[in-house]
Amino acid sequence: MNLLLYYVLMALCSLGSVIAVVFAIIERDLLKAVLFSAIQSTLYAFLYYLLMAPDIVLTYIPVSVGLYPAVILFLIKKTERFENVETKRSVLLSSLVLTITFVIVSAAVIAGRGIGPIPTPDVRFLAAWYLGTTFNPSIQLVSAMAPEGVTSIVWDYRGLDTVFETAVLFLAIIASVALMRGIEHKGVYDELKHGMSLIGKTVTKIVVPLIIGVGISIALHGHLTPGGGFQGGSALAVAPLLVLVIFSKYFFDKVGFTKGKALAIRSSGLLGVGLTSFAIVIAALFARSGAYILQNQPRVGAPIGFPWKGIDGVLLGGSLLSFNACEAMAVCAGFVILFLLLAIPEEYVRKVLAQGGEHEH
Amino acid sequence: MNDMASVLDWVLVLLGEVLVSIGVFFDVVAAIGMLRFPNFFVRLHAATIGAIGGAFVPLIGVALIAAGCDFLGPYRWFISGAAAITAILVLMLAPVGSHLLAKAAHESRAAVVEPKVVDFLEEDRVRGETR
Amino acid sequence: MSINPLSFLLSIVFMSMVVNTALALYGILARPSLIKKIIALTILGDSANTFAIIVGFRQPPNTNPIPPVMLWKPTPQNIDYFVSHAVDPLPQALVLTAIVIGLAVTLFLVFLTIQIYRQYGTTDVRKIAKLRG
Repeated sequence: MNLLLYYVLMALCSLGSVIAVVFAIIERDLLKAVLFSAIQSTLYAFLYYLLMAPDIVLTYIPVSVGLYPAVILFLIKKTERFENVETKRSVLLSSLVLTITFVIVSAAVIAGRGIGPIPTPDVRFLAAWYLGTTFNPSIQLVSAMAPEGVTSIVWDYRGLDTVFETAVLFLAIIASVALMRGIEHKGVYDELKHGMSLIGKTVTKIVVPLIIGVGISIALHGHLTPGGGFQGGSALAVAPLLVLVIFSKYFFDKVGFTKGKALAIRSSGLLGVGLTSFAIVIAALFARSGAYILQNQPRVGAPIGFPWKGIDGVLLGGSLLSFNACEAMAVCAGFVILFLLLAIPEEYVRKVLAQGGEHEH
Repeated sequence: MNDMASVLDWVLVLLGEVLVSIGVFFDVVAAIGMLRFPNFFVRLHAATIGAIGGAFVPLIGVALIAAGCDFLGPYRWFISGAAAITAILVLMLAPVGSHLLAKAAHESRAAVVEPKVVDFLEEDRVRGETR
Repeated sequence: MSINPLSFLLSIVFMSMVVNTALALYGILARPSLIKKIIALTILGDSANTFAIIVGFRQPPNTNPIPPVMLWKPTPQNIDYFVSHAVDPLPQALVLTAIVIGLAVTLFLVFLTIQIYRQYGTTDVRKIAKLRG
């Protein structure tokens, strides 16, 4: 009975997401399309939670419900709001009915003929190996000594994948900075004219420290419970976005938080990631023994490793803790750079572009 | 049945369920109001009633129910605390959201004030005293 | 022909992901606005990620599965319980990477779209295709 409830909730979430996707694709007004896509993301997040993937939920909700719609709303404001296409009401209704009946009928056919996905009672050998060695003090030579399975795969067993993914994110941010090169905008912050009303500003002052606290907490306990660098960084990036929308970009100019400073924070975060991956190699140079790059715990032929247990038996997670902290800083600062670039007023950018050539300092 | 709950647990669960059913009523009223009211601003009022009466009150109810469920073991305090904090956050943030929506809709003239009896904000704006 | 109810419900989840992918592909190919294409691209990426997580799901007989987080002391019987009841952690790690990369690509596409609008004055691909240079 308990099992059936989980599966019924999963089926309802997926059917709801199909409805939201149909509305999002067919809708002509792009603002409403973004809202429907946010509804689809919320339903997907609940589906991920029912599929027992809490790490994915923690990174999916700030990214898909907070950051994506905000960026696309900036984009709609700077370009066009409506799509040049004719849609009739009947097209929407007929496609809704068609897709829902197709999903239910094909699911019944597949399950009835016996070729459908049956939830399996076992996992693959590789997954069993990862699960068995993620926190196993009896075989410390192959274990990651961190109780969180997904974080130990992301930063220890397959750390090279994550390093390359960080490089891809870095390249995308550098490309966006290059597209907006030479455009520096500064203004004076007028408290009465800029930003939203006094009520909005007061409540934002209360809520932003809460968001920052939650983001740092998610990032730092990523080796013990679901969390980690990307999750904490995405949750942290919501706070500057909120300040940008409520207080306006001129507040950032007044505080002195420019794109250059955000780039410096991001680069120091990435430097921290790089140093942590080479830390054991450098330590082993002094002790004249073998070592691996991205090494976390002592392995065969490489006897030096990060400490996994602190005073009073606190689990330190080895290199995962410093990876998570540096990555959260880097991800948050990367998003702040992009928001600062998106917030530059469009008339100023057109003026600079119309002058032609590089902007002279 | 005797080992399941004491009188205090039953009182907590009943109180929580009363609050959740109040939330159901407010949600239904808010949904009907969103469909039937003539004006953007009155519909916004209906939506905020759905947010506060339909989300804050049931979350407090969930916190009380979870505190009264002994069969959950020590995890009931996790559920209860998380629900209470979410309720406080919803109480703080939902009214601000609707305030900013109404302000933006009025300032950008995206919403028409019809049927209108009096509009002081419009008169203030015409006189130049506010944005 | 009897239908296993758990299999039917999981098939609904699977087929709705298939339908979402198909709808997102239609949105990318058939809708003329660049912004709609970006929205459809994010939906496509999310549906593909959900496929990977469905593959990693498991159903131990008569109990609920647990997420791949070891919450107890690592005694041998706790580790046995963990290995026999926890969901596959590898697809979740790969989906984490995929979400971040998808986000990076989408952000870059947003900046490109703004630049296209500044240069050509429109985000309608049919009109851009008719322009020369």
